[in-house]
Amino acid sequence: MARTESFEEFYTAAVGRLLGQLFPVTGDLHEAEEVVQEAFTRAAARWSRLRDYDVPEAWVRRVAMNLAADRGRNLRRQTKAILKLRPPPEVLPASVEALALAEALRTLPIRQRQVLVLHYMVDLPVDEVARTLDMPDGTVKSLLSRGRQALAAKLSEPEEVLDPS
Amino acid sequence: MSDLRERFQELAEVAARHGRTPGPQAAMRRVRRRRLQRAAGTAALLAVVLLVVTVGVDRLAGPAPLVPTATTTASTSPPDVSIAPDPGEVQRPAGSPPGEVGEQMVQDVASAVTAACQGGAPDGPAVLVAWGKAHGRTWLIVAKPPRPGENWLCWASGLFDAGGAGSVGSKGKIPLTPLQASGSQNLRSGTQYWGQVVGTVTKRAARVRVLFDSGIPPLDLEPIQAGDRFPVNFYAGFYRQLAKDKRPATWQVVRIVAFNKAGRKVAECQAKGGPGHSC
Repeated sequence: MARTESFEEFYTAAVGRLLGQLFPVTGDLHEAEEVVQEAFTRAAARWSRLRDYDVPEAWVRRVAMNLAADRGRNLRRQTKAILKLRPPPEVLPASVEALALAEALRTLPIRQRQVLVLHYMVDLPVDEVARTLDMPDGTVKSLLSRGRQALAAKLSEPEEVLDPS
Repeated sequence: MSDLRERFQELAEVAARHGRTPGPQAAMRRVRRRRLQRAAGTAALLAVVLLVVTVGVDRLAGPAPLVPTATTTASTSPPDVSIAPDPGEVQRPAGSPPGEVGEQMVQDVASAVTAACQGGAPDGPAVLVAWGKAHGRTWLIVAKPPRPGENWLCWASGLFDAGGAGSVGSKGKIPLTPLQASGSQNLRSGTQYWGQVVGTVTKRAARVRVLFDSGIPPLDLEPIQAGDRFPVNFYAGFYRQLAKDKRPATWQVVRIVAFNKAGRKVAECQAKGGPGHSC
């Protein structure tokens, strides 16, 4: 399918959505901005081909997801000590429930975060999630199941309350 | 789970509202900058090649020896090699070239591989298969695991000095054959000059023998085991050039032969001269 959309138009239309999808994966808005921008840069380099894809945004999303996983691993391996000195991630003006979800997601392995986001946020079916992350369907189902359980446990933890006495 | 979806949607909306990216122009500027860097690297490599008159002289008489022997003392041993310890998961081995410069080297070579793989496995990861240091330089091999049924491989090698300047030899989308090679020469280290040979070899090979002209002794290399994700292994080595400033320098590699464990020849290729030396 030939498209006439320019790279600028594509970028403008898709960048917000992709930022929204990558933020819960990276757990850090700045990190999400970086991987999304890098994914768009790679898309720009091959736009003459990508623009003919039915859904070029899916390509960018997949690259961004891979970058997020890659950077996550590198960060853990190389800069664990430095990470401890970094300021906490920016707190977004969202509801308590949404912030609790973001906090809970940060405690999950990145692959679980990715499948949860792709399935529940992007609404991709399991086989599409599997294709996006290049893993078997069974692995996706297993990650989804474990991710759901972990999230449920985290989100149902009782809040600390001040002793009124 | 609808509550979960709602929370996800809210997070996405907030992040989309508050996220700040440099915009499409910045992405395109970054692409142009990378292309310039790559072009500069290629130009530097070509300049070395075009500095001299290419005269190929095959002085190797007789058939190739059937039994591999140890690398002679006049040749350098293959440099130390770091191989991805767990190719099933990592894209970069734990011992990647250190620091920002090392990171940039990996990025440069990986970008060349990714660019060369358009239309193939476009969004699969590029894997740092191996890297090493020799004669003041860092070399890297980056490749993309082919998908089932693909009979080609995208890979590239890089050669950088300590400051990160160097070149990337993109091999692009190469049909899979039992033995391939390419390389460069006139790599100055102190008062000596070296040539490089790097390539892919069938997994049946236990040793790769590189034969040169002009009396340079053969160089025996052990294949770098690339793991199950790749249908071939790789190899890399350096050879010492003889009286570089007086000889018409060409890529001195004449022939490459791969042997199996029993010492039987399993593949062979003849070198082609000129820019983009290959075999």
